[in-house]
Amino acid sequence: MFLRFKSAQHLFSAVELGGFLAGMMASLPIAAGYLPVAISFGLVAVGAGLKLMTAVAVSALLFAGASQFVLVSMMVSGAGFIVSLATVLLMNVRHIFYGPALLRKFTHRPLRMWPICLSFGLTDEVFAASLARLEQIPEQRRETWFLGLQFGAYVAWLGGTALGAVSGSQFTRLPSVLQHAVHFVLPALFMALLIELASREVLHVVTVAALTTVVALLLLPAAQAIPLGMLIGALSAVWWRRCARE
Amino acid sequence: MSDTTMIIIAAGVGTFLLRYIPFRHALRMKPRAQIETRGAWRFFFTFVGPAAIASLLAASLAPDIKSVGPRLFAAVAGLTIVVLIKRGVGGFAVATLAGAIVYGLARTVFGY
Repeated sequence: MFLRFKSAQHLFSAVELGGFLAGMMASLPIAAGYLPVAISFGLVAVGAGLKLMTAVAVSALLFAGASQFVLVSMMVSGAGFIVSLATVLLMNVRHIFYGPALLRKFTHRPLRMWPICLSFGLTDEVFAASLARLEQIPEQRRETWFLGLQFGAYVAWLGGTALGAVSGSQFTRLPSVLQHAVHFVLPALFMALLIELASREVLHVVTVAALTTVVALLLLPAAQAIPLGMLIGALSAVWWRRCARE
Repeated sequence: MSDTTMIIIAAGVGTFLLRYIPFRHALRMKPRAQIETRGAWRFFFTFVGPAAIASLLAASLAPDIKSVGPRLFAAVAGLTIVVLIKRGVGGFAVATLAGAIVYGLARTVFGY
């Protein structure tokens, strides 16, 4: 058991359960965005020769979108252990910033849950949704809300992978409106989250990060363009502050 | 243990550690008051989040931006609906799903 509760009564308290369920509800847009990608992953993994359980194991252990596709293609192409591992880690290296940035929203100390629980499912989308919404959640509910958010996204990711591995070809029979729509859920989600965080202070950071990413994408793969945009955007805030002081 | 299993486990553990170690480290370094980090780092960690979301948005829109034409129009229509609903109604789930549906409709109507 990963939760540090003082008693069984505390474990099942309405606050904890309510926070967890609210987090799961908040994960619905993420889940809607994850499903088509996870279904595609399941389909690709099985098509590449992986067994159903192996495909699900990749999703269960990595829970990291694009790097899973790359890992499967590298395994199929016979790339070595070191090269495959290094590629996956480089693709996911941007995640190192998420924990420290998000921790600022958890004002209650000590944390009631082990960091292992709070950091396992820290994907791009979970981070973005948490960053935008955690401050609106009552302090005593934040940890369980965050856990529920991760859990909902994780279940969708695993379920989508299994579904894709078993019957991914059925997905192409959806009406074309829905087929197109599911590919836009994540951009729409990111947009909604940005509006949630919108302020004059943030505007130039957002602009710098987005423009840097767009330009970088002309030369680099997304896995490198995203952290570059992120870094330059955040560093521009530091630079901006120094200029304002001087 | 097969090579495939080893690669999957190592990649999973490595990815988890990329998330866990900085979180754990920040937690140890900052008992309460230090959460409000000083100087440049404070600014960096305050703004790295919005910068990350903006970068993710730009990257997720890249296929639509590059295509120019109906697909770009559909993306603009979808994002406009997200902004309008988010500003007007407030909820981000409804805004997200409405934006996605409008994007799907626009791409279907314009045949791309």
